[in-house]
Amino acid sequence: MKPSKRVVLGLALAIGGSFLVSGCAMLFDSPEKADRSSSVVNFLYPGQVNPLPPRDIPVLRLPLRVGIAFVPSYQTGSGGFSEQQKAVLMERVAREFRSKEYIQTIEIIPATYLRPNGGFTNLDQVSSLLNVDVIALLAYDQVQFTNINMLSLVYWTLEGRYLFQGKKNDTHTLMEAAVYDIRSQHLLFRAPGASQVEGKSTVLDLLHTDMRAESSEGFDRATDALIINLKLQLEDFRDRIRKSPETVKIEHKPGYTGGGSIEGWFAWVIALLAMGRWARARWFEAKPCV
Amino acid sequence: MRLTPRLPVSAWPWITAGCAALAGLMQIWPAFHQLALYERSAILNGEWWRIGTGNFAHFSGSHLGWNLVVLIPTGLWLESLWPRLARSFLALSPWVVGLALLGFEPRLETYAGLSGVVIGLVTLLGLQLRRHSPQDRWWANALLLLVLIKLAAEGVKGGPLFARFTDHAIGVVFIAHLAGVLSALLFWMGENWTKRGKVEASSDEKSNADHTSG
Repeated sequence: MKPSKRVVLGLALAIGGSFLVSGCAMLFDSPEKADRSSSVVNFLYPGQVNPLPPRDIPVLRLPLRVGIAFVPSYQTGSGGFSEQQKAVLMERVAREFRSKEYIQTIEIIPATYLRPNGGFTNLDQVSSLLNVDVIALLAYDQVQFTNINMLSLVYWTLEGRYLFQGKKNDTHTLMEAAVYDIRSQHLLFRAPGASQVEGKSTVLDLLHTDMRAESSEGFDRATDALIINLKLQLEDFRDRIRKSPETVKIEHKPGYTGGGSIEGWFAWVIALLAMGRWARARWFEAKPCV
Repeated sequence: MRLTPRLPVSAWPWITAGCAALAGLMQIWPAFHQLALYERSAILNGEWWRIGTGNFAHFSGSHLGWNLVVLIPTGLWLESLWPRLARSFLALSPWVVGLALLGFEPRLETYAGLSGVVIGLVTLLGLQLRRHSPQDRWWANALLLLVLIKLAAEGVKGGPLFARFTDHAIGVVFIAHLAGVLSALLFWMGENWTKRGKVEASSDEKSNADHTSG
């Protein structure tokens, strides 16, 4: 018995409808993920599984000329982190450290000076070209997740897509600054900065602005945390130098600042000697002359 | 009722107090501090006063504090016993230290601190006590030994014996300390040379008078 035309048409509609529904469901239900990152290790030690530690101890000639740069990222295209944004963040970091007496200059190194997998050879070139001794390499890892919430049900209506924020976005950002002495290739210290931004958007906002704004906010907040941690790590590094001067050699360049200082031990020994003199004088005064 | 005799104004340790007050004033008045700091380029551009005044400027409260802790008692002691010597030393040694920095440490752009003068003052006190006060000889020797240890340690180590400035950008300048000690030696030799000259002159006069009367 041959099926009637109606049955065939009904079956075709049912199959087509189910594809349409599942297609829309895939479009709106499945979580989305956008990832952008760069890595200091990949940049400095491309293809090396176990890089050898540097042999020479770092010699820091104060005041330092510091460079600051984002290591190149492998992602390209509109989903990435723009060079303009990077420049703004680098300037914010630089501004916090420019006033330090032991820093002569902080140069913001444009992206065009570093190439992917450039390694220390690339840093040596930058050091020669821009006259920097120490470089702060910034790397990042940002992941944006998007899930739907109950409001996404109204996306079945045309107006709902414009009006209701049925998307929940999570932006996790991790930034890291690794400060290297270029000549000795030593990692002097490192500091992380992390942030998490949660947001909501409509399907149309999502396609245009919200995700980018949240990405930018994530980088901003992570930079705030990075600056705080960098300051702490810098103090910690200075303490380490004071306690173990053999780990880093400090020299002074022409044009350095010097001071004449009496050390505490010198003052204390003088005070003890003075007390000894006073006590001796009292003892002789008290002793009756024979 | 006064238990201590009133000191004549001329015997007040006013130059030690003045040095301490000047250093304190520079610390609390940033404009004055900026104007007084030893800055090589400014000095070479004609701001000559910075050669001397740089010694009275300091980089921090603790930097000033440690220098004053030694300057004040040492200065008061020396000025009360040998006022002319102490005053001339405190007035001139900052310039000696500044000139030594200008001449022998051309890499140094900025300098601040009284320690060159203070170490010189300690040396001068030690030398004077050693010569004029036999009961204080051990104490004077200990002071001079202390200065020698500090200088030797800084000369050999290229930096201070224990402490450093909290800011690593600021290096301790050995030449300032050496200049302070050398200027103390010069002042001490000058003082003794003039005294010996006076004694010899008075003894010559006396012998001449004896000859005349004889």
